[in-house]
Amino acid sequence: MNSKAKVIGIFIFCFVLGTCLAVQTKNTDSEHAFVSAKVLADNEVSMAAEKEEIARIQELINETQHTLSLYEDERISQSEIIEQVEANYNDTKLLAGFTQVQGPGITIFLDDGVRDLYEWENANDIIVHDLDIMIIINELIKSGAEAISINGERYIPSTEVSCSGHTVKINGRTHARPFYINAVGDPSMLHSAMTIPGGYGSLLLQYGLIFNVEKFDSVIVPAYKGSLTINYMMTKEEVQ
Amino acid sequence: MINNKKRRISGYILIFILTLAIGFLIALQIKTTAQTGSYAGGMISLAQAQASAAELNQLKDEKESLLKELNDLEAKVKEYESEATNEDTVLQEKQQEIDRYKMAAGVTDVTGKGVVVKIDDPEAQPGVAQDSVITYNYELLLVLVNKIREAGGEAISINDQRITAYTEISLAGNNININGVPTAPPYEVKAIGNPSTLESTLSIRYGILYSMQNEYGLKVTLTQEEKVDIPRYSGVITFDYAETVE
Repeated sequence: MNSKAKVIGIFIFCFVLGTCLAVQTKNTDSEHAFVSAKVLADNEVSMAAEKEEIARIQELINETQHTLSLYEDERISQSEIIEQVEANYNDTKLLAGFTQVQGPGITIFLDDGVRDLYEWENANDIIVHDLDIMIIINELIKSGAEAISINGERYIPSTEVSCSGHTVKINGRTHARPFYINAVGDPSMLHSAMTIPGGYGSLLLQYGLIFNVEKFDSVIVPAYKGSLTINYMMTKEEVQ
Repeated sequence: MINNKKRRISGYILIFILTLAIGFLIALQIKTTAQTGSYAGGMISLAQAQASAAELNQLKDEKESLLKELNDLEAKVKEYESEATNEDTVLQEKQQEIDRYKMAAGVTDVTGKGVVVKIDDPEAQPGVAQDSVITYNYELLLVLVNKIREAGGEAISINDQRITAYTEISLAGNNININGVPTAPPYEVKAIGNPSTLESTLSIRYGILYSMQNEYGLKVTLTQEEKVDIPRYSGVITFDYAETVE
């Protein structure tokens, strides 16, 4: 009996000792230390990102090299270069959102819900928020929207959608409900992104907001209305 | 008698060794499989991690040199163009406008005063499978971008992805894709603009950074900087549907 208890005692003791030993070796040997596999996974993500970017930059390099070779060979005349500058001007203006554009797309009508509130509810549940609009815009871009406007305000990289009480400021101008969002792009892609079950549009509908999406062969998205002001950012050339 | 005792001692030694081995194995097992619930579970050796970090650095260097090549080529093209438009002041003005539009659209590298916000997931609890908080609440990044714009931010990047009018922030699997490029925490959001306006707007009580810290438990730091470098959007933007109309 006594020796059996001894064996069990030794068993437990050795078990604990072994466990401690194992934990210790893992933590102190820095040469062969182990790190979480998350590090590796994050690195892999970053590597995929770099590869993707390298491919894109290569494409831009090829494009620029082509233009440069045309210029260098003097195969094109001065007037053609001037034409190229004019074309560049129009392209970058379009890119920056400073021209009115037209094309197939969708319009979204978004308004606060009109249903009665349940007892436990807050009016916030059926009101359009700035984040709702940001998420809708984000979803539209994901589905390939090429130009977007909210209540006639062109969405450009500096466009804020800022709730201030009962009104919303967009591009520095005050707007109020309801909201009309126009987007130019593949109409059926944009439409299905907005109406897909489980998507953000369906969620808004579930909450009881008014959310209508319609496809059109031609949607107009106006140009950015303000002037282009740059106060803080500089190009590398300007710094030098 | 002696024989018997000897046998008993050797038995104890055997038990000792066996249980030691079992304990060791179980501990090892617990440590390596504790996080199998999460995508990034388990342990890897440091050597493996270092090899992958080296590979990543190599790719970064490659990208840098390619970007430099691209900038040089574009400068040469511009030289030809300004030579051709030398005598035409209207065209010269247009060329300056092009540069400004490009800056605003986000297709030029820019630099200036601003702030840098670093966002990281909460410290992982040992032995607990944990998904990335920031990844699964990527709307927080949308809110942050919106607030930066409200505060007059002129250029924004997240993990060196320039935020343009064509930039989506979307959850793809276990990563956030920005500009179609997968990104992972920690996040570094850079913004050019008035540093003190940006700081006070972002770090206001119950504001976006406050809620990231206190409601989501994220590690957030904001620093004002004299010189923030924000890279260009490196992709090609094409218009297949939209057409300029007057």
